[in-house]
Amino acid sequence: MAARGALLRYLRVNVNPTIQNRRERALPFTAILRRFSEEVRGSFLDKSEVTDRVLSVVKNFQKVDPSKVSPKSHFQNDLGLDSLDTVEVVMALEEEFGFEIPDTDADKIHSINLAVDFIASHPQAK
Amino acid sequence: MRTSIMSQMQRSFSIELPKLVPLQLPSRMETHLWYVIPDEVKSTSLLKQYSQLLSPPENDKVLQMRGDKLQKNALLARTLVRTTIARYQTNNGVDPRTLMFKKNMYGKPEVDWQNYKNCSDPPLHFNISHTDSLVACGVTLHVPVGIDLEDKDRKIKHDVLTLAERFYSTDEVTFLSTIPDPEVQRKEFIKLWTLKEAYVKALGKGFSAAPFNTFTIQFKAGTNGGYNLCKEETKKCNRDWKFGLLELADSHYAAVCIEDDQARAPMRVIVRKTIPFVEDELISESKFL
Repeated sequence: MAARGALLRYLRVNVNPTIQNRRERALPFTAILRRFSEEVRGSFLDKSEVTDRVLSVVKNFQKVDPSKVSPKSHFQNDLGLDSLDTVEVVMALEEEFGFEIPDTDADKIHSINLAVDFIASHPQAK
Repeated sequence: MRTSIMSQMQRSFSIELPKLVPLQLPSRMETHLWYVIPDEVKSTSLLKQYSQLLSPPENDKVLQMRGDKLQKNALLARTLVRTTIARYQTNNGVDPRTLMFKKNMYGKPEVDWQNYKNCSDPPLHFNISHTDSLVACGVTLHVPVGIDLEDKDRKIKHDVLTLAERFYSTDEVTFLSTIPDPEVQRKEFIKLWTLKEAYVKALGKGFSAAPFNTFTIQFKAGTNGGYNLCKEETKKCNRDWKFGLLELADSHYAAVCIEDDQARAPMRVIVRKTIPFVEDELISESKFL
């Protein structure tokens, strides 16, 4: 399995969009470093790891009651987050995973599940 | 101006509701802004009455919310919409329970008038917004309306300029970055948020139809003041949409946006606080250029 993964990573051709100015500014330093790491680019993250990291990002929000947060939590209905809160969550997830979530996709992320699905299916997530 | 309505006895098997005091329709270029303060609605029997107004799917949605506070606010929001719209109907005694709602093709809620065969009443438009501590509904005649509320004191987790750079237009970022006091900057960010959100909601085509960074809402002070709506790409500005920004209940910013109907007249906003079936209170009347 590991050999297959390593082989795929070696063979895979990366087609990354050019880094835009404003995105660079928004990324933390460690994410920029990792961006240049060949092995890291182009691989998908493990879903349970993504779930853990998303849960901890959301639990970190002052407004959120950590005891209410579960993988199924809906931002609005379960956690009482409004549109501005959701935007802050999306931004915190971008910082955690080191890639920019397009607005049209961000608009559809209404729950932890949807965030996890989106991030786990994105090769640029770190 | 305070009107009190005696809340009638609610027998558990009775389907009779207390009477709703009728309302005069909004005039042209006028928005009626109604709000409820959830903390002021304490009576469990009153809340029970409210839940009897809702349709079964609405009630299900309320019950799906996790936590008493969220449920109460959701209940109050639906109650506010149903009772307020019912009160504007000129044919007396429209039962708020009979109102039907639908969503437009982008998901914006609106009244479904098919129920009323001889409905000669011109179409009312409405939009709701709520926070943890306030529920509001804006109503207009003929023109689409969008409203948004935000708690004035809400904390912004990220650096305000970082958030603005990510989500707002370049001119708005410039405007915010010229504000030296971080507290004033935070407040202006929030005010802009409510205005932008109100516009997208008035437009009714979903967030993707008008991403926040594709337009600027710019305030012009002075006698010919008011807000301009400018496209980021072309930098062209117009007054096709009217904006108003107010403070509600000393705790919230409220933005109202309506489509200008070519009148190019100021928008009037009449604010009233209410507890459905119990009382109304006129709070303010403002004019926005």
